[in-house]
Amino acid sequence: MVKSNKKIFLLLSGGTWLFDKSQHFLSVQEEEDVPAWLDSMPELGIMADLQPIFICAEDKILDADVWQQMADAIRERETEADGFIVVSRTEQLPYTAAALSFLLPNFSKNIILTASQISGAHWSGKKEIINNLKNKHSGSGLRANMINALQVLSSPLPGIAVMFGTRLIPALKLVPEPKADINLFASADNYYWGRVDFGVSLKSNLAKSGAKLPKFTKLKSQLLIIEDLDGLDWSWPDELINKQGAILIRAGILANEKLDRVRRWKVPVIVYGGHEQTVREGVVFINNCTWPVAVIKTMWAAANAKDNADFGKLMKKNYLGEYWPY
Amino acid sequence: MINFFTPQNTVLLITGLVNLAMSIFVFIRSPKNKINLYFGLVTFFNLLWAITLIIFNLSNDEKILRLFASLPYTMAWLVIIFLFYFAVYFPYQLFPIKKIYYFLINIVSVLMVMYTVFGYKLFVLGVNFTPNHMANYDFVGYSIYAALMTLVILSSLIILIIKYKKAEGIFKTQLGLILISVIIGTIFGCYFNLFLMYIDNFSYIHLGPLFTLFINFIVFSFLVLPKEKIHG
Repeated sequence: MVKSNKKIFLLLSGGTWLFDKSQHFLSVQEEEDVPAWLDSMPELGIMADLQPIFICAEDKILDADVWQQMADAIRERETEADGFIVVSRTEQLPYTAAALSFLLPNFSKNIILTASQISGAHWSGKKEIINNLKNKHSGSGLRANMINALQVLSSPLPGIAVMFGTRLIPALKLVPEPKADINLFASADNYYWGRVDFGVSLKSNLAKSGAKLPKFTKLKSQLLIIEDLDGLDWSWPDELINKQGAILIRAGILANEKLDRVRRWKVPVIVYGGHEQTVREGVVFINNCTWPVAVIKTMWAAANAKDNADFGKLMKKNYLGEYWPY
Repeated sequence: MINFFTPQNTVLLITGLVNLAMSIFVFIRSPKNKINLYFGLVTFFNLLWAITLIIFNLSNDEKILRLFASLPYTMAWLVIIFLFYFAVYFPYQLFPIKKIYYFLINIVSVLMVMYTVFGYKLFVLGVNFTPNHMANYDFVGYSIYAALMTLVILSSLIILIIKYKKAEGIFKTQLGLILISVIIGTIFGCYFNLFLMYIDNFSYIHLGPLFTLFINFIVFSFLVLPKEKIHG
């Protein structure tokens, strides 16, 4: 457990919904909301000295700029902090987790992400979920997730983790849980760093990873994602394509005419989900990582590679255990 | 010849062994964790409670019987004190408790242990072997003990109830189950092993420790059942 004098920085970037005493909703839309929001969870103050940092509003869609801002805020406080909790937009949690993993490699302090069961500032379409949370779980889950996150922060962890429901999940393996109830997320390979039972039980052999990753601090935001659905017209002008920082194609095997198009493009290309095909330098095939990791690693490699060959090298290397063995 | 395997002793032995197993199991999982520590101590002193009751049942010597008419109360007191600390920390500390309260609890505990271990002749005025093993307790001392124990139990229950009311998600389920098991364990424990003594009924002293097994059962289910089944 975290001792009361531990200084924990709490980054807020969506996913902050919770019920107060009178069952009204609270979320952090602006910096002024933070004190009241934090006051509604007084038990957290007993567990640690929490220092909130407002990153963005509840309804903000997170992008490369926000993830970089988060990473910068964490990096700036590395020496004075005992750990970090990042509360972030629920449906984007796998992307945020992957982004921080690539932007903060070998980070000396523990970083744990978590969120409420719902996020976003709009109520419409969420009534049923809200009623279910109120009636079945007596809350949005955030309070419990944060308490569990605080309890594991002082234990050695191999890297950035996500605490959600009853699971402590490696950030780079985070995927949505299809049969979601209290656990909205699962680990892609079903390997968990910890589980909530009597308290939070961590795996016995966890330790800081010695993974070596170049310390790049940027993510490329101009990423074009192509879902190669049947009947999709591939006749985009080459000028439009070549303006992109990188292209990520979600596809099976690419037919010859599509491969011809890809050969003409000058930008780095990732084909996710297909088998390896020989195309040209800077075209990489991957299928042994989660989709959010593929997206974020493409943004990371595209922002930092010197050329297409370097991009290929960065993408292929398994730096943080983001790729699982075939 | 002494018959060890009477129904009373068999129940106490089984209870003791289950508590021993739980105590070891929980300690090994995470000895530094306060929740595990206090729950481990609860189960450990439950074991000692059962053992001292077995010795009370088996004793043929007046001096030993008198001592072991008192020692179960030492163990039961420690069970309740560690249950209180467990209630404070499980599954997280909801509010700070002032140092003065900790001091009071600890000083009363030390006095109670000294009274029931070293002052057992003051606490137990006499013993009988027939029709079954019985003890005659000092009314005032016993009533103070009973009142203080009830106070600590009620404090633990109040803490758990407040936590349950404020909890959400996984903690709500956990606290609900723990609360029910603690209520069952303490009500029956107090009835059979604390209040029946006022009417000199020693026939059911094996049932107090038995009912604490409910708490063990619930905790065991947290530890071994798939988490989604418990919390889903």
